[in-house]
Amino acid sequence: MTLPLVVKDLRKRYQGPDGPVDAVAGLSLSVARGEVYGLLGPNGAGKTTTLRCLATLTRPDSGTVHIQGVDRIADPLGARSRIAYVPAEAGLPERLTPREVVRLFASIQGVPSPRERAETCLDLLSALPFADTPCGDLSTGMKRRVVLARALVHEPPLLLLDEPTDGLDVPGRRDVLAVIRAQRDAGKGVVLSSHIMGEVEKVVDRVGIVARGQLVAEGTVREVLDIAGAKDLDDAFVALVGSGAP
Amino acid sequence: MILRALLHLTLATCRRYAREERVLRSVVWPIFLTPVTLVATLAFLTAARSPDPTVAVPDVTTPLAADLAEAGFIPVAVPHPRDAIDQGQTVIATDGEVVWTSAHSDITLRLESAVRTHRGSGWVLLFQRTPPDEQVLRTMGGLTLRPLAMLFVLYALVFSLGAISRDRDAEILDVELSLPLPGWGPVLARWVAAVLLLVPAHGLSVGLMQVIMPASDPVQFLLRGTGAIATAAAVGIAIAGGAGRRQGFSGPFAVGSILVAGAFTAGPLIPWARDVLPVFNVFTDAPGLSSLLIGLASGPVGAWLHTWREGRVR
Repeated sequence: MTLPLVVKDLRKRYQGPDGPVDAVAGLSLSVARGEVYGLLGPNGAGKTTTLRCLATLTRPDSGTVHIQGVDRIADPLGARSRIAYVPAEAGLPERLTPREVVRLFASIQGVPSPRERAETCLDLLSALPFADTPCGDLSTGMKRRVVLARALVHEPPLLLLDEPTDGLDVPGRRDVLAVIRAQRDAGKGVVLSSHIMGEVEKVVDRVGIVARGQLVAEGTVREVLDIAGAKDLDDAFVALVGSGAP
Repeated sequence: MILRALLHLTLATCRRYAREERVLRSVVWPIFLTPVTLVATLAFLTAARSPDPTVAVPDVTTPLAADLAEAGFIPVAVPHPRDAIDQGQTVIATDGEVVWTSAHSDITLRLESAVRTHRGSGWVLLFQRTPPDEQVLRTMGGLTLRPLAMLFVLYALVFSLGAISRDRDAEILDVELSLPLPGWGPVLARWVAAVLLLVPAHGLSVGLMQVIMPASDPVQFLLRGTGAIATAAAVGIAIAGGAGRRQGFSGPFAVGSILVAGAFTAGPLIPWARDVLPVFNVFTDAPGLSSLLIGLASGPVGAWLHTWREGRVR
């Protein structure tokens, strides 16, 4: 069976003020169906650049990315139709309503009956009560629900979530994690980047810890704890990447 | 499929702009700015060209004063009329033999004519100002439409550049670029929306100007203006490759302003550019059709350049 995501030797170098910077330096990973993969790392470790490469927003210098068997370089449109990218910011137009946004994405994705599908997704995320409120007037938690509804509208086999619980209160975080679990149970592959270890532990099946653009440890949470000789992910994280900046 | 998706995205972008108060406000002011400025200028010139017809005379009870009053002047008595001029009390004065004036306008000629008539001069100056003919007025109307187009061209540059950088900062653009569309699609949608918003605004502004001071062949002004607006918006999206989060707004804006201002300036000096190219011909009387067609074609080129500059080869 084709995996939702297979990444091999991904590399991306930027020109920094002090010379070239390897944002991603030979990163390889794969995500199975029904698996949540946590991409963890300190700020500047390369998590967002990796997600942007997977989302076809940034062209890698080398390496391969296959999204459900589709080569991201050779067939970017095919790859994009199989993903949903949720950035750290909501990315919602302020003056459009959630209903309009989700319908728009359903239409662009070529979903049959986009109106009905939009209603279903908004209902799934409990976003119907504020579906006609301009997105600019919504709270952070409401926006996150809309963003997830927008991401799920075409039922992509792979979800790419960048800091999906950033800025949310406790109930909001619980709701988002519940949605991620539901997607995993529905057989989707999920990649989420985060630096909040506690929430990651609750939802991921495997984690990859990134430092300086490379995976320094990968496995189940238990396996990573064993590698680091730590009691929890916080300690493991510090042991593997250090407490300072990358 | 892709065309339909682009259509949906373009309509949604138009809807967004139409609902944003700051967008509407920023479109409304240029519509009225030039007409209001023109009306204010005309009012000022009218006032400046018609100074107070007060004339200083030695005595207001004399036949001279009566004749001047009959000719439309307001005689005021001063002991020494010439001193009234020197001291700035009036701009015209006469004692019935000499006319003193500090005005360089029609009123001096009118006073000379009135004094000659009063004195029964051997020859009389029959002064009559002929209003400018319609052709002159239409030429002046055309002169006012040119800066109007320039205003909208500069605004199109700012608008499209700002639309891209703002949406990039809010990650709205990133989300759209992760959709199964060509990379230039979301950028082109913004260009189309900007043109659809600004061209009617320019048309409305030209219409208002036509009411105040009609120009000859306003259709050509509309065509040249539309082409120039579309081109400037395309320049805006093309140079916005890095505008926003990483590079800020001012650098690309400076580049765009130099490009557009250079085209304004160079246009009248380069015959082939003046005759054909949008923006270059804003200050000329060149036919507008080629400008319009090139302007409409500039959008896809600008979107492609944006994608190329952004470093995304999809």
